Amino acid sequence: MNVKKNIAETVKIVLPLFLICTLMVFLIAICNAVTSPVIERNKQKTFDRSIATLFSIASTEKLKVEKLSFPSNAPATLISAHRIYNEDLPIGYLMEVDGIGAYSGKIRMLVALDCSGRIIDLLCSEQSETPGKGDRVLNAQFYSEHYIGKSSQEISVSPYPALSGSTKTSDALYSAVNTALEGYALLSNDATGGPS
Amino acid sequence: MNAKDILLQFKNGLFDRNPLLVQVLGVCASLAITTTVSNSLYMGLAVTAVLVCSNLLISLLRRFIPEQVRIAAYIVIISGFVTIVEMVMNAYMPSAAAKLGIFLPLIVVNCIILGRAEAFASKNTPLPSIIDGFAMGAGFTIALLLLGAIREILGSGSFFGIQLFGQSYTPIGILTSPPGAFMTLGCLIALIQYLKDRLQSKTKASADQTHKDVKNKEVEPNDL
Repeated sequence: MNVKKNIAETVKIVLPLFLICTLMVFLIAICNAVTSPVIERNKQKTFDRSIATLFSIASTEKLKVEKLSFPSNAPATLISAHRIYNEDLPIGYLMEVDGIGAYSGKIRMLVALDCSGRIIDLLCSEQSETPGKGDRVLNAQFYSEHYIGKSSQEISVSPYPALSGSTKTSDALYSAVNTALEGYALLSNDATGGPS
Repeated sequence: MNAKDILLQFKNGLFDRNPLLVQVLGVCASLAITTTVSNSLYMGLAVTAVLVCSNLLISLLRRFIPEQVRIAAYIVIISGFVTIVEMVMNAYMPSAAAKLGIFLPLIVVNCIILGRAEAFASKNTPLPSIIDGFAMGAGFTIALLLLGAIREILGSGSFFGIQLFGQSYTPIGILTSPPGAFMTLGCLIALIQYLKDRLQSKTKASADQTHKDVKNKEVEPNDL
């Protein structure tokens, strides 16, 4: 009798909580159905705009993006690699990489390289660094001072690019750039359609 | 519920029981996010949206939620609304969502929201609960804007990203760092306390004066 009573009491407590969870899941599902296509569209637009900005192309209409597959020994932080064409002419490569060890986890960077593996430009696509603090290294001025126009060899012999107060983000950015350059090198050595 | 009650609730939220400057709740995210005014505004609006929605649902379900699991239920409701606000911001205000970064999902652990759920929404009907959400949210937003404005103007020499002073201005760099945030918040809390004390002593003085006047009027006929 007591067991039955206990079960009834437990159900009385747990059931409303279960129903509340179901209600919230339902609300989130509705919201997700409405917002996820918009989020995807935004992501694609941002990606196209990023390519246009990184490669200094005025219009995205004549832009062609070819996704490349990279070898199995590629670093896990190399997310994707693309060959970029403007009016059917290859103009460079875009590496999507993660920089690990940032203050708030990781940063995701888009690294544009020309056909010879020199950095054209950088863009941060995802980050959760402290606003006004860690994110100070994720801007055009810092990129142009330390990375833009440089090749893998030049970066390895340059002074370590770090900003006081944003050391962890600087480290993550450095690791992201190196991953992108490593990815380029791997694709160069790979016969399956990488840079030649 | 009449207009006087609504005004009283807004007075509470904005001044008497301001969540950040009087109750000192939600300090962690507030200190981190208020490096710029725009970040402060986005954070304030996001928290207000979550406050209003969670207050409404908790108030509607107040008789249905068992006493033993009420905190768990509130957290489920609050985290659900935070996820919804995050999705909406990612879809329609992506730059604002990117600026808030990790502090947007962290609204779940903001004590103001759970505090209002427990102290107000769980004991009141939906309409006062919605108004309470708006009032507390407005108080929090204004406090963040004040903090953000001081830190951005003095710490970076700009307002909403627009440079206010020329090259000759040397920003007070410490204000953009965490110690600067603590100092600015401390000064604002002190200012609010000073204003509250002044207002209270003025009210007390005028009440005393009225009391004396009434006494004098009562004494006058006997003297004559």
